[in-house]
Amino acid sequence: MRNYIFSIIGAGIVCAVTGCLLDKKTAAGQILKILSGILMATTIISPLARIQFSDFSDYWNGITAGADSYVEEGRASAQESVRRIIKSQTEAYILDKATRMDLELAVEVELDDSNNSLPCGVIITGQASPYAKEVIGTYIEENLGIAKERQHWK
Amino acid sequence: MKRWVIVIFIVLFLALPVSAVEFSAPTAPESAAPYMPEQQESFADGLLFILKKAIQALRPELAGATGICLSLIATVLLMSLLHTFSEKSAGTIQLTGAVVIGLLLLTSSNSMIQLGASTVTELSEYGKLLLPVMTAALAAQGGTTSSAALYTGTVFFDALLTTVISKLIVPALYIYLCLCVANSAIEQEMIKKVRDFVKWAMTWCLKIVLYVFTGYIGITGIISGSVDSSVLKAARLTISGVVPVVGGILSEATETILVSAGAMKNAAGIYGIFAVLSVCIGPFLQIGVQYLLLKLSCAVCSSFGYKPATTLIEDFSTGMGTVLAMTGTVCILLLISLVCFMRGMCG
Repeated sequence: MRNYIFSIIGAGIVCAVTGCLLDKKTAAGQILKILSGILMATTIISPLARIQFSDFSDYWNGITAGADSYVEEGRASAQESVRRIIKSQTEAYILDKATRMDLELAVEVELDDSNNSLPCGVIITGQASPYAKEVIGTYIEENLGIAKERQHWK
Repeated sequence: MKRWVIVIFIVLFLALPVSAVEFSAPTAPESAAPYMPEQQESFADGLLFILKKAIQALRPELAGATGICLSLIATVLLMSLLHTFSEKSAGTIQLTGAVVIGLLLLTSSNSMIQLGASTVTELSEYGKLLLPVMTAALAAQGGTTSSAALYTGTVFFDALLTTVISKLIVPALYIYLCLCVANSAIEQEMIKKVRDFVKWAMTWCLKIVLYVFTGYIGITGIISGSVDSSVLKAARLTISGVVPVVGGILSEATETILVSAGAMKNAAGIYGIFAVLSVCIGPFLQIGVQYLLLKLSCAVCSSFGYKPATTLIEDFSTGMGTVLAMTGTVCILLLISLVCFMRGMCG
């Protein structure tokens, strides 16, 4: 800023001295008057020439990268919460059926990695008769869409 | 005993709700603490609290500013009397008057300019902490395109405005005030023209940045809002296509998260609005009082019929108006952005 003001003052002094020394009525005087005007205008707008558009592009890219990371953070946080809710609700659904059949089971549901986080597998731990296993397996397949081959009993 | 401890831990673990998303606004800056309302449930009550606190804090400032204004009025009255009784030394009186009024006003104007500049910096710094939270919260609510566009625009224009204010407007304000004193002392057409140009350039810069920002918000709001709603619609369509029980659970979970993210976003937004207003209100009222008292002094002094002094006081009040405008512009930019984040930009 200081250099800029000094350069304007300097250009102003040069223009004023030139104007005083030359006869404005002659052609040379007129030309020098125009030239000193050009010098003054160039000095005033000189900071514009120093603007580097690559810097601006880097700055803009930095902001958009920041925006993308915050958006991803929010989206991932929401997705994680949705997954937690789906997992707990699905497990509760299976446990409810097991309790109604007088079975004491532990259930762990696996979710797929898609955006919708659909249940894709289940690990059931506990004692159950082959008939009860069949009933619960069919129930899970029909209501939760988990195929029997993805249901593991321990 | 050991068994009881285990039971208590198990009960506590089971009692934990299925945690939803969590977003909270960063704590308000220290300067805003005295004005921050303790409860943020009622927006109107919060605003009233901030205003009351700011007016209470204004009393000492008011006394100081009134003292300066009374000195100004006395000086102009004296100049006017001297001018009436000794017209031969009118030039000397004018020059002396300009210097005395300049000295009286430059100190207080300098502190107001510094106050305005520091408020702008503080607002910008707080915005840098708050905007990522709002962006993440809006993205969690499904507004991924809107939040990215809003964050990018606000950060860019905020940085642009802060740079323009610190590098251009604040130095230009000092130049403007010096030119005003010089113009009042020697009354030259060239000085007057340069002063008018500096004044025009300062207000133009602020106006342009705010106009372009609101334009950007308006256009991107419509475009990104419709993109986000189509994505949400598509997601709901997919959910309705899966097994009914899973579809029900999925839809319920998604709705829970959307609602909780929305509630958190709004709570953070309201806290953010109060914080921005609390940072801004004290300095804004201080500068505003200075501005109004200068306008009042100008009106009183105009009755003495001594034009150069009245013009100088009016120019200083214009300077204070510009400080108000620069502080207000940054505050409005952040408030517009926060309201857009809270609305979700559903164009």
